Amino acid sequence: MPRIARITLLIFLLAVPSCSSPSTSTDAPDAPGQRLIVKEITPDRGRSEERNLEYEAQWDEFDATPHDPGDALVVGLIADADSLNPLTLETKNAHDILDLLTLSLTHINPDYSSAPSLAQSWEFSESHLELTFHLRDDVYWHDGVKTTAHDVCFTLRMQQAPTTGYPNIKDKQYIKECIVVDDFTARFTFDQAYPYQLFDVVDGHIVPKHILEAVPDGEMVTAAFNRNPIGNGPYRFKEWKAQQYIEITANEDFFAGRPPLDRILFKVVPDQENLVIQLRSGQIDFMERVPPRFYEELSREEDLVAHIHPSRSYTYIGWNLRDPRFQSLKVRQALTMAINRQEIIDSLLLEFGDISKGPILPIIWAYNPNLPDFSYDPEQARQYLAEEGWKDTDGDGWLDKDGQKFSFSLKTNKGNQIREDITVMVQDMLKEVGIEVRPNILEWTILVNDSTKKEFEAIMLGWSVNLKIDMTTLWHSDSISDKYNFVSYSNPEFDRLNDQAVMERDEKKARQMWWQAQEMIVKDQPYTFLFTDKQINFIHKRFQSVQMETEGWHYNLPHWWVPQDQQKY
Amino acid sequence: MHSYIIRRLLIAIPLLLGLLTVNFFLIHAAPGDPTDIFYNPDMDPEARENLRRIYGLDQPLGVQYVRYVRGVLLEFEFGYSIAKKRPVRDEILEALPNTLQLSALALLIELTVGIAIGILAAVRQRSTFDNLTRVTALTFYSMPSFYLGLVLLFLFAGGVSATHWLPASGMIDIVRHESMSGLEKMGDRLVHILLPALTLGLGAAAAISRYMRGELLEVIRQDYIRTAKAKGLSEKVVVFKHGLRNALIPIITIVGLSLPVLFSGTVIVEQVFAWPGMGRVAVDAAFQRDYSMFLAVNLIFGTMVVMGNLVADILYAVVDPRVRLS
Repeated sequence: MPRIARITLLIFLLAVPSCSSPSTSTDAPDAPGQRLIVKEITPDRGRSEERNLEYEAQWDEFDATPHDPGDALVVGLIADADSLNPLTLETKNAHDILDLLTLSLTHINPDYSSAPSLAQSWEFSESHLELTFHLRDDVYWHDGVKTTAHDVCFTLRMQQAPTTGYPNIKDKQYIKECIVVDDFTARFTFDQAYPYQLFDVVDGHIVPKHILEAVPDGEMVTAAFNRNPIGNGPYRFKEWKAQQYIEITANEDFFAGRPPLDRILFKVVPDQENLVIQLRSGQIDFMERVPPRFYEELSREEDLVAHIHPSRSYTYIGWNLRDPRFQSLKVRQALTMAINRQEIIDSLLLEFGDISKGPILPIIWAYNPNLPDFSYDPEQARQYLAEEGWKDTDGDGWLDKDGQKFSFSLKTNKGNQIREDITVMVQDMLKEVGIEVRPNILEWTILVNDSTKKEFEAIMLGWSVNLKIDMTTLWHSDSISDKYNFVSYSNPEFDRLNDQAVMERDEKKARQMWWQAQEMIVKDQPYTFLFTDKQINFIHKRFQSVQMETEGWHYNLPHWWVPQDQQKY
Repeated sequence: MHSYIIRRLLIAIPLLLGLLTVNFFLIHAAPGDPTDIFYNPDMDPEARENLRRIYGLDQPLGVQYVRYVRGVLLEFEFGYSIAKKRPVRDEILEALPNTLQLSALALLIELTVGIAIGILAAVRQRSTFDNLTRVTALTFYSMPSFYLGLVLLFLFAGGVSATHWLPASGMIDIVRHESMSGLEKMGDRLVHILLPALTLGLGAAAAISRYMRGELLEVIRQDYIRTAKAKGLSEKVVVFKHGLRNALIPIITIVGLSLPVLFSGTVIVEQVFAWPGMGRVAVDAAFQRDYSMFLAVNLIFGTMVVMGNLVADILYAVVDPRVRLS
């Protein structure tokens, strides 16, 4: 159900780190996504059915558990949703809510494998150019109409129409068409076989054809459905009061049974201090991405339980490689070695962060654990800089070369206190080796404008890493003219490896290639990879069966329940 | 007076048009593109272009301006919000009544508390009460509204020992409101509006109380007050019937001038207390470079200030018979 996050900038969310739950080891090199790849490469009906049984068992257990129906969950949100239309929404909060309202073809498990959801099973053709889904015949839209293969194929058509504005349209580019075989069988065809065929097809939620076919695709972004959605999931939409709350209620007719909690209310409170006060005083039951500074205070509250898990985001400083100073490999490596990343983590994230070494995080299957780490070593940094001709020739305490002082501006966005603090820390650290840093905190759209035009010297931002590994957009030479390879990284050997790895269906070979690709990037240090954080969530202790995972705090929310004698509402 | 009001309203039109024009070109002159809020590498360029088309951003600036002004003047249409994905008008129509509600109560607090304390301080000049209110008024007046809001939150909304007497945010108890009786619903709304209205109103009340005290002290030294006292009228009648009415005249002017401060105060207070009004819409629009929303919010706030000042002028004439609006 929860949607796989895109390689999307996290900027706004980020004041809030996150990371590993005790049960989800972040350093298991062959952990999560690997299984997804294996299953996609060797799919067969038998495996699908096996997973189907696991899924049914999960619901059986859910039905058999003596959970008491009733009560409400009040979730504190820092920002309102933008749209509850699966075709147009952009914000994470909207995604989270939509996951409870509407089904996808498959459900993403905590280990990132796919489990049946709307589709009971699926299989590839021998050529691997066709992928057929067998849908449940007992799933209804909340207005009573049955969900069918017509909805599935309509959804793909709308996702692929460029004027719809579907944000992840690139995931659908290799899908040729969707064919309705019968009411409950949909077949997807491809021009070529590649590793992420299943992933690309199941990404996104299904939309009701009988409602949205009347909306021209170019007007989808402003359709009334955006704020009054009809879903087919365990919860149904009830009300959305702009800037106040969104309420969803238990779907009595859900195929797997009615979820125990009667109501879920997403309360919008655009102030972190206020959210924390409301959490402590019971005005909200749950807060996601609690800033680390509140952790100790909230841990002392008897009624609250902390859930901590790894995030899939990292923060970095990007060096503009068009700048002659940063074209030197040794200078870039020296800059990384002069920055004490552990001190940044200890000071700002407390224990809720780890140094990130490269563009793929440890929780992702393709992570290379043997990357060079360029750990803090100011002496070595000074030496590297001296070898590149940067010396303090005039004794003013700053390095210079050809009469030019080593000084640069470090841009980042306003509104993210941790980043603003990091600029000051980096300024102090680089001063130690004789480099002047001029922090430049900018409003978000201005920062984006500057990065797009490559008008910066150094820039600090964050990325959220997709499970689907494809480094083209951020690192490929062809992307330099686009928006996101704004550091202008270019390495023909990397380009070749990336192009091969993206299409490699053999998991072992693909992994090998991604390991090499990571090594190249890390050795080249176009970014100084700073840290990956841990996500801290707090919830009231009356809620039972709560599991929170990296891919969504609400992963198993339809199972949450409250014992009768503890119910509050 | 009618012709005066009509004339003032007519003058307001070019004023607001000027405001709209300046805002329009200012926000478009700022670097950055509104579609940058969708900073998503997976987004198709064509999809982004479509967004620009839907929001009219693909047109030359002059065309955008003419379209916008025509839409506002002829159809009361403010375009689509790029961040909220809905017509700006819908968002404004939801948020505006909430801000008016909050501002009205804050104004009521400002006037009643300010005037009452001012009168008491004047009639008990140099007493402990007078000294105490002087210090208190200065404290509240110098306190930024966001700070006062946070203090009130901590004291009354759950910040201390996890107890709370008043809700920390919103307009209603979102879980229980539906099942409440009519009277309970009113009470629910009242307890929710109390903290933001106090935050917004107390600072201004502090100022009003000082002005009121000063004006009243000035007035009660006048000859006609002495005459009234000499005629044997009671202190109460002298102060309230003869003194207060005259002392109120400059207060009305001050209230008129304080309206812009009150409306701009909602921007902060609504953020702190999650009050779903124009202030929050304004903050979101500014941060998300939501052109249409930003322009609409400025126009509405501008209109509110112009209308507020007009009302103050009219009240001025009502209170002071010597003033003739012409």
